[in-house]
Amino acid sequence: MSITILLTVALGILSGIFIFPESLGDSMGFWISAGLALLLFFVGIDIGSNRGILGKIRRIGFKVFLVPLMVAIGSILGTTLAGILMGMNPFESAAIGAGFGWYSLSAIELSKHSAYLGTLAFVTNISREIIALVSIPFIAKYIGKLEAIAPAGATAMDTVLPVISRSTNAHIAIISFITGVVLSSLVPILVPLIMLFS
Amino acid sequence: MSSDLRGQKIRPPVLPIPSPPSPPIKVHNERGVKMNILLYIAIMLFGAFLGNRKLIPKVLMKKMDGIQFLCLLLLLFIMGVSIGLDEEVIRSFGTIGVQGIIFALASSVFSIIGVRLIASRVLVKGGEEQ
Repeated sequence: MSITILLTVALGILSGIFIFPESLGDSMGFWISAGLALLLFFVGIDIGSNRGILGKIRRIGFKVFLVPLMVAIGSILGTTLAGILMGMNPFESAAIGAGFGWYSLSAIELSKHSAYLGTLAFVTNISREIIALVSIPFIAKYIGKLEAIAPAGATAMDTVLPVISRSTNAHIAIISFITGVVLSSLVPILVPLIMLFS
Repeated sequence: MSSDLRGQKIRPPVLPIPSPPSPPIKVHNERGVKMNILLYIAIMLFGAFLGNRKLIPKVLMKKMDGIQFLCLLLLLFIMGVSIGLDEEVIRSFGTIGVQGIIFALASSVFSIIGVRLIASRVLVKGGEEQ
């Protein structure tokens, strides 16, 4: 599954570069949203046909928020450490990590500080989305199903959700959606907040 | 890539350093974000309703896995195309791609470790679906 995903994304990128005319770029957003809506509909069907699943989620209760919390801490800690190793400002590195894979918003926020930082945030977070798409089937199989949500970050509620749902089960898909929503709401708060310290 | 999934305009900031005052900034609006979240929830609830009431024909349910995977691949292909179409993205990858990928790997790995630490607490009582 990972290989198929990787090949499909790579094939898409290559045909975007070499085959499709650039004029197509403007309509891409619509097609992505349409495809996403269709897939989320399927995820919904999966969740609905698993009876008793809401009861299970309710039994987890507030502990479900531990997942986005740990993803947030891990993401920020990871880029901060990597930034220190690469000789970068730790706060700027932390702010890039706080994009949680939501590349448009973190890039826009950080380009207010410098174009370089904005571009780095963009490249980092788009890479994170691709890494998530490709690695999640592996993680679900060899590390753990709940852990499979982690690399997706904020995209756990939309673009990466269909992959998570396919690699795990309806139960994890709901936790994934909640995680994505919480992380997405944190991005516009945390990124500017961390930059206050830099 | 002209528009992203949460309704924001995507414009990877232009690289040339020193930067002009700022690249075109589309101030994010929280309302747009939330509206999209509502749309996603609505679509999934609709799907969940159909699935729960068994309103999807059995024949279709059996083929659901395959249909889903094909749709997923189609979406991934389109996402790839939109990345490839955007010269800015390709150019930025050429300049600071390695740094970005290291950051992306670091945040992914530490997130996985973080979730691993709490996985047993979240899943044990909830009883993960077998």
